[in-house]
Amino acid sequence: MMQLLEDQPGHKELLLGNEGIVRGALEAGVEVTTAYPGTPSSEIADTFYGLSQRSDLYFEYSTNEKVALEVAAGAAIAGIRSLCSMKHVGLNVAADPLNTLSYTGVKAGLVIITADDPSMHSSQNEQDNRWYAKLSLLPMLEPSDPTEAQEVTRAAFELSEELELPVLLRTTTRVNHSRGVCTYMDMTPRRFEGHFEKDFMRWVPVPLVARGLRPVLLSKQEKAYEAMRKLNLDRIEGQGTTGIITSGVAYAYVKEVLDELDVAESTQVLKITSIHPLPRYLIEEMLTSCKEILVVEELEPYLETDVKAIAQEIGAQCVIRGKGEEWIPRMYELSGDRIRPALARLHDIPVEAPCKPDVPPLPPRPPLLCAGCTHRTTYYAVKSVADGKDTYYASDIGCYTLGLLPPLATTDSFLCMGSSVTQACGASINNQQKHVAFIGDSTFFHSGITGLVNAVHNKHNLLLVILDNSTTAMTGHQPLPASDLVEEKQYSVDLEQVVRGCGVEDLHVINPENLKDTIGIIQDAYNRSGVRVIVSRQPCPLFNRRIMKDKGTGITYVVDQDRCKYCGKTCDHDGCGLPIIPTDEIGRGRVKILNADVDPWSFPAKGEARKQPPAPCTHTCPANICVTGYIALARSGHYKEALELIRQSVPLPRILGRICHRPCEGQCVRSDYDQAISINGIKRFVSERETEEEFAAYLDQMRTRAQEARQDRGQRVAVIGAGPGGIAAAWELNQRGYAVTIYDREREPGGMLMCGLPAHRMPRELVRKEINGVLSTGIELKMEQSLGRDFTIKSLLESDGYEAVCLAIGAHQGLKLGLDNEDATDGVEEALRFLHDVNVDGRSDCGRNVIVVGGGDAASDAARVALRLGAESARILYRRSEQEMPMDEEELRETLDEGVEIEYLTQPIGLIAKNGKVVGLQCVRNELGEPDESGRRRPVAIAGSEFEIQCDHVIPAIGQTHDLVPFKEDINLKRSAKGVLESQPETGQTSDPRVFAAGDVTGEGWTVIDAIAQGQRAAWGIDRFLVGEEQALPLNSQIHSDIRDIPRYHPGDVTPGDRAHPEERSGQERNRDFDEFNFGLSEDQVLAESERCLSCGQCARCNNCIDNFGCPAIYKMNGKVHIDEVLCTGCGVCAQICPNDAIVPVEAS
Amino acid sequence: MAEKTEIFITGVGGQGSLSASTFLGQAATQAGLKVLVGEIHGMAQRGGIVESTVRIGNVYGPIIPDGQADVLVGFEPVETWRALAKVSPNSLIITNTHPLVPAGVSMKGDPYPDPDEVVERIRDFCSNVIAFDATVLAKEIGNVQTVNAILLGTVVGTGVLPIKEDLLREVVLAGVPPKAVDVNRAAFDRGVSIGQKENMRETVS
Repeated sequence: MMQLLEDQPGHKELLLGNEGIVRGALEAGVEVTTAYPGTPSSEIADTFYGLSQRSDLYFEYSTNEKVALEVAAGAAIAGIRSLCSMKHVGLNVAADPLNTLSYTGVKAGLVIITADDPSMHSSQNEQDNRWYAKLSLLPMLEPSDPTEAQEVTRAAFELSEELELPVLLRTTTRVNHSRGVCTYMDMTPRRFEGHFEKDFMRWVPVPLVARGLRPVLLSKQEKAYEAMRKLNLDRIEGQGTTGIITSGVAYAYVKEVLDELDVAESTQVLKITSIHPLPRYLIEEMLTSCKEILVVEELEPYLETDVKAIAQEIGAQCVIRGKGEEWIPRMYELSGDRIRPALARLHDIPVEAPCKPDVPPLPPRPPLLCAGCTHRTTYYAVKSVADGKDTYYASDIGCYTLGLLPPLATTDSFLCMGSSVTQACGASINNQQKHVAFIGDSTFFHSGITGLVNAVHNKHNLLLVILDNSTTAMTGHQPLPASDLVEEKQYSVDLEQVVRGCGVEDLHVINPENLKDTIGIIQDAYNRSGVRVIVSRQPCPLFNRRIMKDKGTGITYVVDQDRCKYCGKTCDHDGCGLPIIPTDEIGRGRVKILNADVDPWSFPAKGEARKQPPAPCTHTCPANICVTGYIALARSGHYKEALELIRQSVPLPRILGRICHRPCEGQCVRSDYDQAISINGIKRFVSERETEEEFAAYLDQMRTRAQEARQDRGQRVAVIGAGPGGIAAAWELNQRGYAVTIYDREREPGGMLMCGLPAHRMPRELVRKEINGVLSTGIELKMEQSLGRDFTIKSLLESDGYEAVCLAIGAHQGLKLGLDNEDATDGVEEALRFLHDVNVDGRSDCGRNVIVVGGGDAASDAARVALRLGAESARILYRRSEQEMPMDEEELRETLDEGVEIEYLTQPIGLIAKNGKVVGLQCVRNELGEPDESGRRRPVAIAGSEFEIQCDHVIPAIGQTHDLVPFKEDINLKRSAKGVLESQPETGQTSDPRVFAAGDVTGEGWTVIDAIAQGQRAAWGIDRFLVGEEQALPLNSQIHSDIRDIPRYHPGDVTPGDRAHPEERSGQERNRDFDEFNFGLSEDQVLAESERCLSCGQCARCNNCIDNFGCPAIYKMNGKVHIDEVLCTGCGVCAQICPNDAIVPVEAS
Repeated sequence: MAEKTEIFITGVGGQGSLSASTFLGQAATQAGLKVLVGEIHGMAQRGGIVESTVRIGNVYGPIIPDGQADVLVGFEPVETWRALAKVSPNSLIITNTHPLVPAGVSMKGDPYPDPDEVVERIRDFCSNVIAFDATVLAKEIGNVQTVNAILLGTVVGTGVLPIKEDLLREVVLAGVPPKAVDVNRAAFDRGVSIGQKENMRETVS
């Protein structure tokens, strides 16, 4: 670069067009140079900047183009040769001084470079700045290539000094950014003799003076014409009656195509460099010597309009063509290819299209924010706050505009430098959306300040994020007023002071790479109103590396494939295979960031896995159903997929949707804010949303899968008991390829679902549909087969050819109160017997005044059934208080709603009978003592509190056990001292390795979801037993048993929202029939409810780094995420946002 | 020697393809040839497509018309394929086969064209193709940034340029940071031998 300053006439050098301009200006003796960078003009500024640091040349990066022009103009009126450069739209900013500067003129030469960008390679429009010459009445020159750029710049200075007018030099991208061979000319020495000569009538254009300057300016037009004629920059080449008038780079294309068509000799070409005033004498010569003229120019018909006007004035008969579909395109830059048809047509020459390859559409490669870009991090933080909310992003002009593409998509509009602030202001008027504006630091100084003052003054409502990366990155890392990189003669302006000076009170400065704090601050600011400003400060990594010579952290990041796409489940495939919901990923990322207590820049100790835990709900669920997963799918309307995800963990989702006791909801983190999510309500909704056709198709698929698996297995396994545990075991065994037969003593399968649960809670058709569905996938069923009566475990194993047995007989034996004469008194019967009679045998009689003793589901069911059978009253006696009652809150409310009375702290101590029939109960009041082994406070009878209650029907509902009798003649299975069957907790394997227990019989699985989970575990155990641990398939969707200690992560700010409650019939309306009363959540409720989910836990189907962050260093190959070592800057932000903590630092090689 | 030699260079922002065209232009200037180099800056960087042209001989503008490039140098296989309209079936194509997958492709989960397949499709149109993984080679040589030196060496090694190998080497080595001179020399020479070998094969067959 430095040799540009050397006075070496005759030296030849390959120069960029922009360097040619610099050399030309230096040869003309330029002393003061100013600019605001902008493609394609930036290298002019950058070259002057570099030279000014090593010579007496003055250069400044001005705050904007208006400032740049005014500074250059000030120098020029004080007699100092100046140059000011900008891109085409920059001249709009400088148009105000420009149009009066022509009136006052200058003393020393002033050349203004306007670099136009046809085709908008890096601009928002392709305005044709040649019109500015006509508007301002200033001379304008335009070179065609780098060589001419040097020559024309020199000429422009000469012209400017002669006319005492600024001269515009217009270029286009293809001239600025081409390299051509330039020959150095003599250098004019720089003078350094600035002195301003006072002249009121010239430099003070008040109306009185301006009226006098106007005729002076007009008179200079003629002088300019003559002066430019003398410069001899315009010429006619060739001969003939066919003419072409052209200028700029279009001249190059014309020359090449004429050569190619071999008509160069027979075509007259007028090459115009003097854009304003035009060389009329040459145009007239063309008009009089040609029969046909084609005007070939880029963009607007600037030359064409004048050529036609001149033709009209002189009465030329020549045909003039120019813009038009058949001739020269008006849009985008020209090329030989684009003008060839017109030139060939002009000469009636047929053209052959070149042999074209057949290239299919290829993946696009748009420019992106760089790897390690700090803007991306800020955008990610804003999105993780604003995603899913109706937010309008006003952006601005700079690198950060590249956030427009997915996954960031943080540019909804922009116009010009500074428009982010003001467009957001306007858009926020009478508008309930949220408004976020993004502006770069350099752009803020350029044109954002005035907009911000306006916003404060007029009390607008926006969050303005100033992206402070310490440099003007887009145009090549030029410094800006707030740069730390100031030279001695400069002062670093404090950005915050400027913002405060604009009247902003709500100001925060963040380091975006500290995402935890950043998200918190953005979240708060996002939720406030008024003018809020956040300065997001972190230097551009390229600037750090190239300009600041930063050596980097020495750290690079890699993906730990064991943790990436890991959800804590035992299945070793790539997660559930269901759709990935980006909003869910970003939500989980946010939860992780806000709860991070680890430094992402630190190295994890060897073996210290920072594995993210599964969500508490999923972990608590006995079957580990992926709750946050199916809620995320429901939230995005993927109901079918949500059901599929549930079914990956359990069969019978419809049944669970009605009856599950919802341990998940008990652990829901949302209850730390307001109330737990109605998880089961969502499950019920998505399971019932399925159509009959979809259900049939699902069953077909599962049947096929089981048949295929049968090829590998095929061994026979018997399941005893057709309740939920037995059905789940049979389902899982069948899917693993075993030939399964279920034995059950009832007439219909379903176990407790059919015998124990009343129809108003568990519609019979629903149970039949679910269980028949399971059976239809290839499971044999033998009903009315009673263990001990019709068969034994021994007979199954030893005579019937079964290789294993799953024992899932449930617990149908109710416990007794232990009162005197309990068995002998009429009207006393335990709840399961009573419910079985009603549910299975259609019993419809019941006492008038019914007392139920107990506090669980069976007590509630018995009391509520009694009312439905016509009882006048149903009262529950419970020996402890409401707090200790096992019945869940919702069930309790329903029970009370239906008119059941509950007496707490009350215990029966004796039956009162008349003629062998119960007529009342002797009771005692209790108080609560010390906690017992269950952790609940022990009831202690209050002495002297005895009393009597009248009744004619007593139903004990205090617990149940399995029927031990059938085992007596069977194989000996070990039992505990209390008589409970011993079994392995993992698989349910009993003391006989061929026999596995599931459900109530284990003494553990008292609920439907427990029984289902145990049934599946028993099936897994049987598989391991029959084919060995190696061959056995993993247990689908269960969390690794060694994952414990699940923390409760809180995602900071949570929008309050109440739990949804389903519509139901009133207690008085429903308590006389067995129809269903709870209609489930509506779709709107499900969507609102799923919005409340906090997306805890990790996910194996995560793609967050790619779907939401989009760093170019992160890519996916063959389904696995990788980080490109060369591109990775070691910023560590991806490690922070990874919900699974799978991105880890390593020392860079 | 042909009246004109036109070279179209394409690659991805950050790969150093613009330096390659500048080096060729400087070497041509030093050889006393008329040359024009065309570039596009700004938005083309930042992982986008970067195209440049070197036109040696009697030319006026920086743009190479379709089908007229004598040599197409591609820094990335899909970008070479994308620029195929610039060459004719008689041109020479030198392409790096190392793929750079655009972020949008990873995000959508789309497959990225297989480099071998891409080279085959390119050969369907123009048989004179020198294709190899210059990125892996550059890493082997010791610096992934030397892909451009390798490819320039390959071009000059084929003998297609009106520029001498020694001159181009000199220009390249003068244009890289002092500490990277040795590695770039090794890379350039490696490229030259690849170009020479391919050229020999072409002549023999």
